[in-house]
Amino acid sequence: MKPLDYYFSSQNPNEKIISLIHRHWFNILVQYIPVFGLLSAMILSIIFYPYIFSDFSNDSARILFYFLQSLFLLLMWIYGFVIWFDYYLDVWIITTERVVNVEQKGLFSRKVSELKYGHIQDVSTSVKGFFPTILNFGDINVQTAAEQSHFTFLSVGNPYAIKAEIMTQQKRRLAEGHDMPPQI
Amino acid sequence: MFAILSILYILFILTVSIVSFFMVTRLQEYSINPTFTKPLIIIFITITIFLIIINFSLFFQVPFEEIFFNNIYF
Repeated sequence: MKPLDYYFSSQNPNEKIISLIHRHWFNILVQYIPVFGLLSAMILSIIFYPYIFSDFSNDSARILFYFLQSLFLLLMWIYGFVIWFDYYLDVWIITTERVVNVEQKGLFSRKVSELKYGHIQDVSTSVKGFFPTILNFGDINVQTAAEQSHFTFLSVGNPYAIKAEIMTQQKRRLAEGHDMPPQI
Repeated sequence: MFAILSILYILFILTVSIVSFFMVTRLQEYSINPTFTKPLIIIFITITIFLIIINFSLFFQVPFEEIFFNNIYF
C-alpha cells in the first residue's frame, strides 16, 4: 500500500502512515438514527403544528414554538457533532513501524497506545451478524506476546484486508531485522 | 420568573459554547488530516454561532410573563 500524506503527533521522522482506520460507516449511522428520528419529528411538528394546536395561533405562542424549535435544533447540532467528533478521533493507524491505537472517549478522555510489529503474536478477525457480513465489517484482535495488553479494532471495514496488511508489515519489518520478538 | 429563566438560559448557552470550544480545540490538536479539519471547524463554528444568535434573539422575544402568569395556555 502507498503511504498516506497524514501526520500524527508522536510520528517518527522516517515513519510513514500506511493505513488510517476508522470505525465502519454503519456504526456511525446507527448512532445517528435517533438524531434523524428527532429531526424528522421536529420537521413534522412544524408542518402539523397549526392543525393540531389551533389555539396556539397567536404571536406569542408562535414565538415560543420557534424558540423551542431552534433550541432543539441547536442541541441536535451539538449532539450530532459530538457523535462525529468521537468517531473521527477514534482511530487506528498502521504505520511502517507500528500499530497505533487512539481511543477518544467523549471530550476529556483520550488514550493512545502503540504496538511494535515484533511484539505481535497473533491477529484474528471476527465478523459476526447479518449487517457485518453483508457490509464486510468486524473486529480485529491483535494479540501480543507475554501478558501485554491486546489491541482490538472495533467495527472496522474490510477486516481481512487490514489483517493481511498488518501481517505483511510485520513480515517486512522482521525481514529487515527490526523489532525482533522478545525472548521468553 | 423571567430573571430565573434568563439565568438558566445563559448558563445553557455558556455550556453549549464551552463544549463547542473544547471540541474545536481537540479537533485542531489531534486531527491527523488538518486540510480536512480546518474547513470543517469553520463550518461548525459558523453554524453554531448562527444557531446561538437565532436562539438568543428568539428567547428575548418570548413573552414568558404573559404565558406563565396570565395562564393562557396551561
